[in-house]
Amino acid sequence: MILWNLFCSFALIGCFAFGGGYAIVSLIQNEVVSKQGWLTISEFINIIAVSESTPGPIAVNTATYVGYKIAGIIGAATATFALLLPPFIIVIALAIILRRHRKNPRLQQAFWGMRPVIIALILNAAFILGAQALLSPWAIAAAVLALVLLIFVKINPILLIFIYGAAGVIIGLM
Amino acid sequence: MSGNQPRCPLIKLFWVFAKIGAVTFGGGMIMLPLIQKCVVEDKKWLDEDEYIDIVTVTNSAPGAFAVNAAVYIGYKLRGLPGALVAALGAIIPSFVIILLIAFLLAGGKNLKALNDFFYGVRPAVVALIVYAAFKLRKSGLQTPANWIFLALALILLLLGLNPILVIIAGALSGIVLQSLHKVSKKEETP
Repeated sequence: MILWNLFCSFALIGCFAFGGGYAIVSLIQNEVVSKQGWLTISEFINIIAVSESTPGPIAVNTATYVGYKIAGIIGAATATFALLLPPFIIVIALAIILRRHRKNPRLQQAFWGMRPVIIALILNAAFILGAQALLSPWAIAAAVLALVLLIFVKINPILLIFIYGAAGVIIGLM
Repeated sequence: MSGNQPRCPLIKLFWVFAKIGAVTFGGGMIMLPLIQKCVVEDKKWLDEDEYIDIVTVTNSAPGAFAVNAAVYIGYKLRGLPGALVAALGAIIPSFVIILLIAFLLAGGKNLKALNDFFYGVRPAVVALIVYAAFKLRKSGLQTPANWIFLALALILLLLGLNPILVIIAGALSGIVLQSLHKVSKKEETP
């Protein structure tokens, strides 16, 4: 029964999870903390902290963690699957529609208008994250150095992530 | 689908997205430069225009953006099995890591080294996201009109307007402006 409830709650979240990571997190909070009472607010904040600092989309991580907390590994799998199912179906439907109407001039005009908006959306994400992550002059310098390495040295992004992570561990030891 | 695209094996599709999924600290946006490097530059499964359009579509659907992008790209390359394989690849690494951390935290383990690692990664994450925008400039920013769209959209987003509304506004203005442009061109040629 708890698994079915988990499935329904996270499938519902999946249907309305527009707007990326943090928007989804507030939906999850409403459902899991306020409505179902599965977690206290302080437990929920701990989960967000863990989800933020681990790889993967924050919403998916939160679902996995909440599911695990409530019903173990099967709960984790159920919540994650439920969260991803509605968007999976919607994205496939969009892919089919777009493949059929790719040459439609109206659609191409719409994409012409949307492309710069997407770039703005990405920059906006960088602003939001930068406001939290770049609090010291050192952090800002580190971010600028990373950007230089990416654009001019063409460093592999995965390598960059591990170099910065290792630097964090070394500084932490000092 | 055009025949000149190199067909990608399912196992490779899984591996590419698993690799990306394992290192995307800090949410979905950071997946963008990684997906672009692997899928567009290295493997040449998609061209840059196709890629930015996929990013647009997957941003307009509900759900975790990175997983949506994996589903769409997987579907485009190999149909439904491709979509499933790419989505699993994108999810499984973080699923396993979260389970591990939940398990360790429940056992009262100290995760200082892990926290330090994530702390060090954060400035790189900001740079990676800026880089993702930088790399899309060829497809999205060709004319002055594009730059104006970018500036207006950025202002609206920073003011806190819902991203879906901003995307829809971009689509509608695109249709209106391009249609007007065509009409004025037709009037010039007798």
